[in-house]
Formats: sequence, C-alpha cells, structure tokens
Amino acid sequence: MMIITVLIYSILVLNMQNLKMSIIQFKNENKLPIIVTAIFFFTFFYVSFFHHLTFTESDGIFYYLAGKQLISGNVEYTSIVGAPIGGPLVHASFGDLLGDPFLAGKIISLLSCTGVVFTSFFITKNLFSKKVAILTQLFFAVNPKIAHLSIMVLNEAAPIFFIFISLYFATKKQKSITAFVLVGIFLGIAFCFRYQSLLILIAFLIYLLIFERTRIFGLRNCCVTILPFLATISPLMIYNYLFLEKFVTFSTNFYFLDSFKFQTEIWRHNMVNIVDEGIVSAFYLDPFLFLKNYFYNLLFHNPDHLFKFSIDVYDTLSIFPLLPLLGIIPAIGGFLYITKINLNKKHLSILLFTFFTTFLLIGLFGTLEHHFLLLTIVPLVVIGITNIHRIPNNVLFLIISCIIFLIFISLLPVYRAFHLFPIWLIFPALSSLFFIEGIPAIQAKIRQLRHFGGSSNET
Amino acid sequence: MKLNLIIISLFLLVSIGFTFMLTLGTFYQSENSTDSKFDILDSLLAGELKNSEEDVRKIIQLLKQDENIEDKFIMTSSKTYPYYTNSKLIYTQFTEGSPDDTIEDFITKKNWSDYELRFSAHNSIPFVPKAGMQKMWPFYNNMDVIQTPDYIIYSYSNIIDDPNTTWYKDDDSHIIILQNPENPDIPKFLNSIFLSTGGNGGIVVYEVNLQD
Repeated sequence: MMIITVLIYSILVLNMQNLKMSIIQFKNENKLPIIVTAIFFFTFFYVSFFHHLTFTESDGIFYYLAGKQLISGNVEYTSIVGAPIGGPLVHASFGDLLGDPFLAGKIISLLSCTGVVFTSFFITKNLFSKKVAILTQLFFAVNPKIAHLSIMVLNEAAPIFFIFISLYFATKKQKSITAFVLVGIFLGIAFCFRYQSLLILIAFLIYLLIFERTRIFGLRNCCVTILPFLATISPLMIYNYLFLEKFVTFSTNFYFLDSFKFQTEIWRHNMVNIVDEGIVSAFYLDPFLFLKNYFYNLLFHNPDHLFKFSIDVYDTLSIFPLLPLLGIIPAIGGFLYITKINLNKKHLSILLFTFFTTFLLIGLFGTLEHHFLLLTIVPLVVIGITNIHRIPNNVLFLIISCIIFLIFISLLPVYRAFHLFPIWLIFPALSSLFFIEGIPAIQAKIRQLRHFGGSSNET
Repeated sequence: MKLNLIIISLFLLVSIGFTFMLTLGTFYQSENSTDSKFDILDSLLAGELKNSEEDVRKIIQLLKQDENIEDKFIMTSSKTYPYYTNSKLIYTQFTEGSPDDTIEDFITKKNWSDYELRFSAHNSIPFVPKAGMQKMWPFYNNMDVIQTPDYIIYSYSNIIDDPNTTWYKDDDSHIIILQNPENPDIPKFLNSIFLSTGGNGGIVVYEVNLQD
C-alpha cells in the first residue's frame, strides 16, 4: 500500500514538474503574445469595470432572463429567436452564482475576447511565421469591434472564442486524431451558443474531403470530427426536439422578414403568415425577390461589413477603420503574395479576361452598384484556383471557410460586423503577411529592376 | 527606416485611435453635440463629457420612487428599466401601428398588426409562451391581452443610420411628437416626468394616466 502511495506521489510530483517546466518553456517562447494579451485584458478590464456601470444591453438582459426561466423549468416561456439555449443557460447560471448577472456577463465577454486575442496568435503561427502571427494578434488586439465585444454583455464573444480554439486545431499542419476530436467538440460548444459554427464545420469537412483526401481513409477524419460534434450538441438537439418539436431553431423567416432589404407589401404580408416556417417556404414565396436579396447580401451587404465601401460609417472589421476600404489592399496583397503570382502574359490575360467577362455578366444580369465586388473577387478566385497548389493547405482551409461561411450566412444580411469574426482571421493574417514579407519582397524586386536598368544603361 | 514598419505603425495607430474614440463614444457623449465626428474628442479635451449611462441611472432612481413599481408596466424599447426596477415591460420599437394613429391608439395597440403584437409579446417581460408551443401551451394567445402602460420611456437618436442598412423601416411619424413634451399635441393623459437632450438624441419619460 505504502509503495503504491509513494509511486502515485512520485508520478504526481514528476507530472507537476513536467507541467511546471512546460509552462515555463511556453512562457519563454511566447513572451510577446502573452504581453499583448495581458495589455488587452487589463485595458478592457479597466473600461468594463470602471466605465460601464449600468446593464444597458437589452440582449444581455434578455439572455439572462431567458436562461433563468429555463433553469426554473418554465421552458414554455422561453422564446429565443434564432439562438440556441447554451448562451442563456451560461449567463443565467454564472449570473446566479455570482449574484450579479451584469458582472457575470462582463466577465464572460472579457475572458472570451481575451481568449480570441490570445488564440489569434497561435492560429496564425500555424499558417505563417512568428512575426506575421504577432502582427495579426496586434490587429486583433486593437480592433474596435473586439474591444466593443469585450466590454458589452452580449451572446457573441463566447462562441467566437470556441470557434477560434477549433480553428487552432483545424489549422495544425500535422493533425492527430485528438485534433479532429477537439475541432468537433469546440465547434459543438460554439454551436450551443450560436448556430454559425455549423458553417465552419461544413467548411472543414469540405476541406477534408477535397484537399486532405489522401490522408483520410474511409472518411475517417470526417467522422472523427462529426461524431464529437454531434455528441456535444446532442443535449441541445434533444431539448429542441422535445420542447420545440424541431432540432434547430434557425428562425430564418423571422430574419428575412425583419432584415431583407428588398421587400414588397404583398411579400411582407404573406411572409408574416409563414414566419414560423423554414427557408424553403420563404424561397417559394417569391424566388426572384429571394435571390435578389441573397445576391445583394452576398456581394454587397455582408462584405460591406468587412471593408466598408462607404467612408461615413463605423461598423467595420477593416484593419484601417478610418478609411475601411484601404484595408482590402494589404489583404489582396497578401493573397497575391501567397499565390506567388508572376504577372506574366498568361496571368495578365486571365485577369483581363475574367474581369471583362464578369463586367459583361454584371451588365446583363446585375447592377454595378451592388455587384461591383465581383470584379475583384472573380479574377482573384481564378488566380487562386490556377495557383492553388502553391497555397499552404491550412491557409486554404481558412479561405474555404471564408467562402462557405459567406455563401451560407448571406441568406441573411448580417446586421453587425462582429458576426463575421469567425472568418475574419484570414484578412489580418494575409495583411500581416503582406506587411512583413510582401512589402520587402516588392522593395527587393524594385531594387533589382533598378539595378538591372542601371546595368543596361551602363552597357 | 523600413517602409513596412512605417506602414504597420500607421495602421496600428489608426486602429488604436479609432478604438479609443469608439469606446469613449460608447460610454460618454458630449454635452453640446455638433455634427462633427470629432466633437466627442473636443469635449474630452474641454472636460465636458457626460456619461451616457447617467440618464438611465437617473430614470431608474425616479422609477424606484414609485412604491408600486414592481406591479407597473413600462412601455419602452429597453429592457434595462424593468430589469433594475423589477417592473414589467411592454416592448415597443415605437414604429408599430398606423402612421395615422394617435398616441392613444398607439398605446392601446389599436392598429398594431398581428406580427407587431407578436414581436412585442416575444420581447416583453414577463415572457409569454412561445409561438412554436401553441399546441402544447394554448395560453400562447396571452399576447393579445392589451395592457395599458403606466410609463412610457421614449429615447430617440438623430444620428442617421448606416445608409446601407437593410432594416425594414416602419414609419414612426405618429410617435415623433413624444420627443418634445412641450408639444401642444401631446395628449393630456401623458405627464412628462423626465427629459434629457444632448449628444445626438434624447430621452423622455412620461407617466400615463389613461384612466383620467
């Protein structure tokens, strides 16, 4: 008995020592990202706890009260449009535990956003160099929308944090079974707060099936991701099915009614009658109007929250919020850098051909006012496809996530820029790559050309 | 000096400045607002900033003076007041009803559409049973119960929304007179008990005495 006790004690001590060593090593290797995260945390801790003293967020109050009703067993009184019950339950439980829901909400928001800032470094480090990762993290830490989420009591920060943890495992170059399991679990947790994480899962599965198919055997990795995801969300599914008679509560038609830009009186009147139904009924109500709204959301409204196409508005995720559109330049620069495009005749002709074809198609079927973004996207996509073998796989996954997320989420017009945070990382990461590696490469090229020009003149 | 370092510094500094301004603007407002985007910075430098939550706290204190506030209904768009006073909320976006409605029509939800009634019911406190549960909980129709409010808290903003917003805009012209309690068209049953203007908007609290 004594021997066993000593053995267990020795193992514990050894493990503790290993853990201590690992922590010290981690701290030494990641001083800068830890400092950036700490500065972010203390700055917004100060703002949140010394300047935000009244619970003015109606959303936060709603989720707390809804959670309280759920905990009390009054499920029939809990109507949460378009969101699952995870957020309300966490807010209510933690709020009741602390005896102050406002304080609990502030802690959840601050810790989640601090986690987002922290993980942004490690996700980017999976993709690019350490310098690029630290710059990306800085773009996160100084982003006005991350700041906003960290100090407001909303139901947004926690799911974004869990999505970011899953992105960390999903972007690992060498993924073990554990990594796939953790992707599924964390996306599942995020799903219990906000359904959007499902889109990241879809993107990940598509990526696995197309680009990592050589590594999967009998769809093994897909299953290893899906099963933990389903297991994590199963309590939510059971609840939804038992009490709402459906597995998910997307409430799409409510959002269509509330947010679609293009509406007619007749459409609105009919839509009210099918507000509890699904997306198919909304589509068939007026397919043309539905598609008009969809393409407006996809090509104008939602990307507008990434890089505001007008100067006079604040709600943007651009890394240059004063002139948001300027933020698109380094992101495109980073993309062109990573695809290692050489502006040779072939590439130039592809660019010009796709540009003019797109221009023609917009002229025939769309409006330049709302669909002009296609003129940038289509040539970039074509360049991306022709050079796809040059893009690292994990970067490709983030690009695919971005495309898949926008394709699905654009059924609705997102009404706040921070709804696009799950896919935002690729933009500051590519921008950072452009700043750290692209600009010096361009400068070197210019110097080389000058030198070459000078040599030619001399001869 | 390296060009990329200059550009990176510029991008980061602009973001820091913007974040500071946005955070400042979230919790503070200038006493005498102009249309300038930098008026909050001017006010900060002049030491004339006002905490945006100050009015909310004053209104909460005012409401708490009502001994029976826990039994009273407040008609407003914010859940903050019922949360702090344990009172009941009749949720409104102040766009419901018909543009020709009188204030009394609006308060009594005379011409509110079914959807507006339902949306209000979903967001009101205490909650009413949800739509998907009509079969299981037939008292879902509680939303049709018209409850007259004891207070109206009307806040407004003069800031023009994002011009690209896709929000469906209802007409609120029938309600807009509530912005000014001195307006002769304000009905007698509304008694203004709090008014605060400043920044780019304002907030007015009315006591409702519809029985009179």
